[in-house]
Amino acid sequence: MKKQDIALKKNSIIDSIKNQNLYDAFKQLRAFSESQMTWEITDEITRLEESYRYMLDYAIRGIADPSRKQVYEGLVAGMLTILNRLERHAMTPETPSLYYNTLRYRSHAASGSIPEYLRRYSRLASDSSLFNLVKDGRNDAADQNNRKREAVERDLFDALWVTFPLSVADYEALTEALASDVYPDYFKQLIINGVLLGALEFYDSRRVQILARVYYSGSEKLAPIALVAQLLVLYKYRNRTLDKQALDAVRLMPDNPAWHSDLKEAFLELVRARDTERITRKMTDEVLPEMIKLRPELNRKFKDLGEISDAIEMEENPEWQEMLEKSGIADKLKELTEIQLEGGDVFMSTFAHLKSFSFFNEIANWFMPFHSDYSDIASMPAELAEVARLIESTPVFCNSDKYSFVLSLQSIPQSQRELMKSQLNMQIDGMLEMQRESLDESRTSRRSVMNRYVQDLYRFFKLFRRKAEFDDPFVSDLNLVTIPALRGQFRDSDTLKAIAEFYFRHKYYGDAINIFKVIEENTYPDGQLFEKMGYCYERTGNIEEALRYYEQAELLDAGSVWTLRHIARCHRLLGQPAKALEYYRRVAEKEGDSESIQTVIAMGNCYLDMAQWGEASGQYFKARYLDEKSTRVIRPLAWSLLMQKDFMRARELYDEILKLNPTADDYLNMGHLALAVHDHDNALNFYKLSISAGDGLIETFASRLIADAKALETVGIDSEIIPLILDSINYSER
Amino acid sequence: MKFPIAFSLALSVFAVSCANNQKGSGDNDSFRTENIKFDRVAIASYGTECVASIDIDYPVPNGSVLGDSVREWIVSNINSYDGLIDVVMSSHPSATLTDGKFVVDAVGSLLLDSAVVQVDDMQKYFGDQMPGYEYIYKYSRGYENDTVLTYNASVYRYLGGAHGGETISDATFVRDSGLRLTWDNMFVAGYERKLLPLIKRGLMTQYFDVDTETELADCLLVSVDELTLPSAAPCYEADGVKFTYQQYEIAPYSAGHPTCTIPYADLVGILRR
Repeated sequence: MKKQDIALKKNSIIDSIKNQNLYDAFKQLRAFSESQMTWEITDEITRLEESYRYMLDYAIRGIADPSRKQVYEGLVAGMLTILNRLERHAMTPETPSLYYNTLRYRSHAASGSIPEYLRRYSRLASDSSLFNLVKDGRNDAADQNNRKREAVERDLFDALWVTFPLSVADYEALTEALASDVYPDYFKQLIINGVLLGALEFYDSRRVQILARVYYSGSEKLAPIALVAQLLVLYKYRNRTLDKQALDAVRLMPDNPAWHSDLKEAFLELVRARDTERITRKMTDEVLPEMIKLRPELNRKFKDLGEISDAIEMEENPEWQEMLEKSGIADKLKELTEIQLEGGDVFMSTFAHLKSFSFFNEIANWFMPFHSDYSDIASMPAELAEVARLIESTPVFCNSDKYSFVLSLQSIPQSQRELMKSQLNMQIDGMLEMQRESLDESRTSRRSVMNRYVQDLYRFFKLFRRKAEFDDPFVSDLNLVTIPALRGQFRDSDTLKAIAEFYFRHKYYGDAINIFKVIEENTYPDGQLFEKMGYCYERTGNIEEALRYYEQAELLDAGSVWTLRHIARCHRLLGQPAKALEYYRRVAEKEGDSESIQTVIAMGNCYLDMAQWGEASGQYFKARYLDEKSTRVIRPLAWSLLMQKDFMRARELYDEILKLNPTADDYLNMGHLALAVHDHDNALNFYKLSISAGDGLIETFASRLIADAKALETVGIDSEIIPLILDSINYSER
Repeated sequence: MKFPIAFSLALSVFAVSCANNQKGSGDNDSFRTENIKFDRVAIASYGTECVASIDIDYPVPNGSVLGDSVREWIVSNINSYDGLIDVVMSSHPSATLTDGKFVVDAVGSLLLDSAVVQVDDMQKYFGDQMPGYEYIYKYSRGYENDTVLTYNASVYRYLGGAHGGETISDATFVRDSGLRLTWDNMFVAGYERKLLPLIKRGLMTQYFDVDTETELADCLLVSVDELTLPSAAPCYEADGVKFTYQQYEIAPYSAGHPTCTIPYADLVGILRR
């Protein structure tokens, strides 16, 4: 069946469900199932439909049923799951994506089930216990065992990813494994990742339940991860009716005492990930090119040191510092340090280049927590294995970057490896010391775990070879407030304010509005909030709404010059210059003797909009008086004088403009001036210059000239001359 | 927690210098195949010969994403004929599909064993009139360039009767990612409308050697207006994209596999990659 046909069927069934036409939805589901000969699923459809008919029967007979809504939602959830299964079944034979490749391959390879893999892993883990190794007394036995375990890890990950839906046996085995001490934390994290990746393919109630369970009973390391994973799943399916079991599990999550702070941190980490692109651009476009420019000079000064040490030395070396200050990098570095302290992902640009190792061909490896006894790393030369152990303890890099880093070390000369090791040792000691000194270690640690976890996920969705086949959660706005299952969990306005402020500060105005709106609904009117909302609307081009919020802000704080200025600006943008002028006058009053040139010009612009040329030029002259050197008003002033038929002074100003890199509009206006003083030859010359200074098209010029017809009449030029001018230019262009 | 940005920058410089040294970074380097053959004859009752011939350029397991993808396609394709792979793997639980020699031997043996059983069974009714079965499976590397690799697959099965049947199912893979190209990801949306006339023209000039649609109609089992796109995926060749119809899909058996290759230049605007 073609992908397009499958999508059509799916959409049609979803439409019927949305329109509450379950009769039709059942009919279509049955036909879809029968066409694929999936008799097991057809039987399930029959059972579900029977339940629905019982429900209908009770309803029609008027029997009160308090759980009817719940039953109905359960039926809908069941139908949607069946639809997913049918869709997946239809896609399986031909779809070339990695998900279906893996699914097909696993089905042909007679692969094991999830409980089987868990049992196998547990056996291998016990074989590799110290007792067994001592008994064996052979290192190669341990290596072999490690490799076998890693193979099971990868197989389990694939199974977790492509199994749908998880069976009761899968669910029980997984919850047992996640609660057991037999399995190491990194393995449990891999399980959570597999659960997440599978859940992002198709909604699966049991996966939601597993993540919820890990969150409220998991360790300090696992709970934050499970929460982030759960939030991504719930966000993806925010428009879908969840079944009762999943909802109940999600409702238990706030029982974890750290819930509110975790939710806030997770939300912040997820929205922060959206800023990674900006940070990466800063690194690659601004900082690195400057660094590369400095390299020859650095090499001269530090001949004895390798390139790695050059950069590390720079914070301590005064000579370096001076060079950095001069180059302007120092400021950028300060900014980057601040971004990093805030939790921004400053390493993405660095490690994005190092994801092509064959290690990253395997999807499971993108989700594998870093551990230095991973066979490829453990088998490295001793000094590299030692660096790997150091890297393992650093809380700065995410897992994916740690692997990149260690794998890259293999390609550098041994002398540099040693240098790298000593530098790294120093940095990590310092960091660990800082971590120990942290007042609230547990909270810092949970936040740090989430931060690195989000970075791991971000790297996968942005850098994996076949990333296009995955639904990247980081392209959406990740506004968790819109998740129905979490309704009521965001009453804590501190969380929302922190999120909104983040968006606002980093200029994601559209996203900030969404959060500000929720805050607005849940708090008392607040002038500052309205100002920010107004500003967000203004920056996103919704001037009417911006004005509405600025006006509300003004009601609460009538004295704010900033607000008055923005109200005036909005009125002007909305084509209401008189109202704008009214507000600018209030601004001017408040500024008193210290009236700013900005206000004077703005008032001049309002007069200009109202064709009050005398008043406009009065303001502009005042602006020139306030700042003689400023050329900001020269153009509108020249225009207002021209409109007042003060051709001589207009001419003087246009002569000044000629020296200022004139634009197509300047030449056009000078043409008008020449025309007004009956200097037709010059007018034609200026008009031609206007064409060449613009896009070179006579059509563009013509539309500008026609738009000025009214202004030309003001200075006494009959607009009938316009077509004649255009034809003259046409002839002279030949 | 502060981690010196200077160190991050040092790493960046380091990363750039290491970026070109990543093992397996160019999958072109790591993709390798091994030609594996199986050629055997088994004798059923009445001395009837059953033949199984398999010839596969099988990817060597070395972590290459392209190799994984090609291997999956080969085994899925073989499996689409009577679930051969599923049968083989269920009776060899410890075997792996990365072991090409095992796959080829096991599939070949299974084909032969089942051929003998079936032929014996049929011979109870038809005696020595029942001919032997013949299976010829061939999966070989075809056109290749720096970005794509085409595999050509031909499966011929003779199970008695007037003649056997050959199914051609070529596949093109993107080297970097291993992605297999299909109708959906090779062409832009709405491609059918633009592509069909090109294929029709290609069939007329390249395959049937006719000048008019009326003449083409004489060659086909379907009316010219009802001509649809081939069921098999198109594939990349040196001089264009090749489209192949199966036997009986649009034309009689005697016409073979109607095929045409549309030059890349003619596909500008509809070819996505």
